[in-house]
Amino acid sequence: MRKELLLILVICFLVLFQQSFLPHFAIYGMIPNLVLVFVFVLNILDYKSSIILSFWAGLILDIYSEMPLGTSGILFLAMAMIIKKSSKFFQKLNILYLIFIFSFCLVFYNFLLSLIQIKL
Amino acid sequence: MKINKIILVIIVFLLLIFINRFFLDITKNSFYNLTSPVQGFFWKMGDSSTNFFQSFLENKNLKRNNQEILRQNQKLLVDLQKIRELKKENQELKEVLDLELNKEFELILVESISRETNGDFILISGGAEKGILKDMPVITKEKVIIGSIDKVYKDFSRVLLISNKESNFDVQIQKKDDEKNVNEIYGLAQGQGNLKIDLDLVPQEKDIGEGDLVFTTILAGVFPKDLLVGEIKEVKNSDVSNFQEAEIEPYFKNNLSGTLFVIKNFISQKEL
Repeated sequence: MRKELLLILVICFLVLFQQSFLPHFAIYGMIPNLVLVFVFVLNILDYKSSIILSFWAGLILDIYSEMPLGTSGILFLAMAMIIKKSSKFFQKLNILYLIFIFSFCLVFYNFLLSLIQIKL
Repeated sequence: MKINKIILVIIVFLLLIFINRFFLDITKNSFYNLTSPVQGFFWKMGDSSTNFFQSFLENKNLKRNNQEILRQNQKLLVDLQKIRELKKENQELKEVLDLELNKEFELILVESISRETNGDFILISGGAEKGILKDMPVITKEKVIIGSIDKVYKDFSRVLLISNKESNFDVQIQKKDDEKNVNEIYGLAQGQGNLKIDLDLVPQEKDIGEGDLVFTTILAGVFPKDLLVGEIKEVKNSDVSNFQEAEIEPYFKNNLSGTLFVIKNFISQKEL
């Protein structure tokens, strides 16, 4: 439980860092999504509470974005489940698998988020 | 066990819907209040870091830039003298015609705190408590337009940047070699996301080029007139279209940090 609380604090730090420090280093106006990378790493390493933590990470990110609360939470949750399911069929530390699954997650998250933004 | 999980998921969903419906603004405002010192610290740290790296990277071009600035400065001094003369003349004419002097903007001083990862929005300190309302324009001290207020919380507000895809407004183009602005050229600025703005609906017969300045107009009532938007970066001519398109380099990109101003006595008449 203590570890989970610490990880939530790390997520909070990453969200604030991403929203307030990284915009100054935007490349072509784009800001790297550190929280997504953190969620991806947690799930690839198969951390025991990674699914719940993914949801929490999304919720915290939602507070600092214009999206309704829960949007990124649900997307990160779905992403965590996809990683869990897919890791059963592949060797987890296979570099090709890692590149593929990370690219997939990135496209999955941004595509769905853009769709929701258009709908709203 | 599975039923318990399903019930838990349903409860979480209902709770999210409940918060989104009734407590979203209060929740967000409380979090912003709690974390604004940390965000302010990161924002200032990021700003000073970019300044340091920029000066380091631009060191090579320093001499050339310096000469260019000196040349521009001399030209500006000459222009300034002309403006002073024109101002005096204008003042005299106004007195003669008994015209009312231009009212200055009523401004609310705010600070930028953060920028969102997805979508072109920034968060500023100052909300309903300071008298900020939705659709009020936000500018820098150099009169560069940043955007308009999109959402107002108790102590904070979210600003929709002019580069946001939802943002479009009328602009006037001033040729860099046309100081008297004889040729009035109008167009439509459309946000493209990721701090990019496109210029559209400029008639083909109008001559626009790289470096021409883009200002806001009051035509559609979105923003007050004569606020600086940026300069034309690249003109895209097409034989098929009746209009010219161009890319605008927005000036607010380098002015997002620090102190900004909300114009209190102007609310945009956006069509929603």
